[in-house]
Amino acid sequence: MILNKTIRISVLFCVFVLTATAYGGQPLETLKPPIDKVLRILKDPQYQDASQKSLQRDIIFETVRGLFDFQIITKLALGKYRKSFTPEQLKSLTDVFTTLLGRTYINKMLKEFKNEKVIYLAEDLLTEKKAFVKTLVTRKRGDMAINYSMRLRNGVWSVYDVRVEGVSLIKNYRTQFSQILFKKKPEVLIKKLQNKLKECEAAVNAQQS
Amino acid sequence: MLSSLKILCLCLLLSVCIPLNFGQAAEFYMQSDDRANDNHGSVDGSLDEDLDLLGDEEAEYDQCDYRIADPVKYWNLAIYHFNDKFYFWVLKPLVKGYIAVTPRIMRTGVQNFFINITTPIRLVNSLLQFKIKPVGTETIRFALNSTVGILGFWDPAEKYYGLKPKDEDLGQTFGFYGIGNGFYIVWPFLGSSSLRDSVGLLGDRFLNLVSYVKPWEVSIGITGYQIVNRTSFKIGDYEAVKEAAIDPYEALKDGYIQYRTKRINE
Repeated sequence: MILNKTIRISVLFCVFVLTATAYGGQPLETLKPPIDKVLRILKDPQYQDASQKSLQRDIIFETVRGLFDFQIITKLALGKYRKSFTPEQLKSLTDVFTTLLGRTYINKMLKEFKNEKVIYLAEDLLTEKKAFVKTLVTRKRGDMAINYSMRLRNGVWSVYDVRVEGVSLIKNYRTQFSQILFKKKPEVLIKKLQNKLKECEAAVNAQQS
Repeated sequence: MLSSLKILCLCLLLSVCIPLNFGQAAEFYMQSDDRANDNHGSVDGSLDEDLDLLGDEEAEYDQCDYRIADPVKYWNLAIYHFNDKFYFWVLKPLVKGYIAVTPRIMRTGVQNFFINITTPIRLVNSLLQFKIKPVGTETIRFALNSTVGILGFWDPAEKYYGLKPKDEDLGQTFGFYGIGNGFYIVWPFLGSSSLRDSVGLLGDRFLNLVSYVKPWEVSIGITGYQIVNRTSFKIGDYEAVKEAAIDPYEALKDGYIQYRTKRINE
């Protein structure tokens, strides 16, 4: 009887262990469920009404947020200039940049994605801890290649760069940031991003009313 | 007997769980507060890992083929602002009106027609880059679409054979032969370009049937219509780029260079 119980428990533990390893296992397996969920939310009829749009936006952001490592994204976008940031400045920049990226990309998705499908083309493991996942979004007006750079950290895969048609998000922001930081202080950049965020929010509110 | 089995089972269980599960669970929990105070990556050696990644990536991001000189920046900025106003004040309202009166199927047909008559550009440039497969694809597409596809308005080659055109132009051919971008230049109405791609555009005109239409006013008119029709599928793209950018001019410049580099490498 005791033996029986022990076996049952050990089987249960083994299952738990196996699922736990599988969870941190493959980059594609980490990427796919949230993206598929976002596509479902975008199509979901309950959010089609204009009054539901901000709720839909929040749900999408919560779904994909964990997928991206915004701290690394911010650091990479700063490049060598990150050394001139104090920890507090880096934190406030990361916060505002995270919100801004979320806003602008979700707005774009809301406007454009209706009946798109995402095809997962390939998963290249560059090293044990770095991977490149290639996807293709099929649209009526032409397919769009979206590739994700991912890395393994503490057993979890997360995205640190997105390339849309070959244009890297990090590189793009990096050139913009360096243009500002070349001449100006870190707080100027933070202020600029905060203003940009306000502009975006004002535009969204204007659309809704 | 029973108790020894029990101990054995427990040992097995522990040996499986400790290294994998507990280790991972601990990492998982640590990671949440790790992320919270990771501003300088000071926790548990994550600094090294971060810097490794940053080092690798930085080397790649700093690669010189993604940088471009901008010696005529004042001209470029002026034209950029002109194009921006032109888009919002002229082109966008015009295209919106056009979309309102033209069914999608017709706009797609016109798009197909223009893709078909610009076949020589893609064909010759694929040939110049020894890209044999695209040469075949373009030839079959042109033959099929010009006939069965009724002068190219319809696209049976893609519909039934999955033959998609691949964008090739003289600028890409120059790039293929190792010619660099030169410098960044913005043209009125045409937008972002580089010295190399501008020369390419001029050269491609000789392969574009539309540029042989006489008188030239009609040729310009056709090109204008082509742009309006093409833009009707792309309304919102420019707005999205502008919305996401802190400095739209720099964002467009960098985006153009990255996009072209990808095209050339393909």
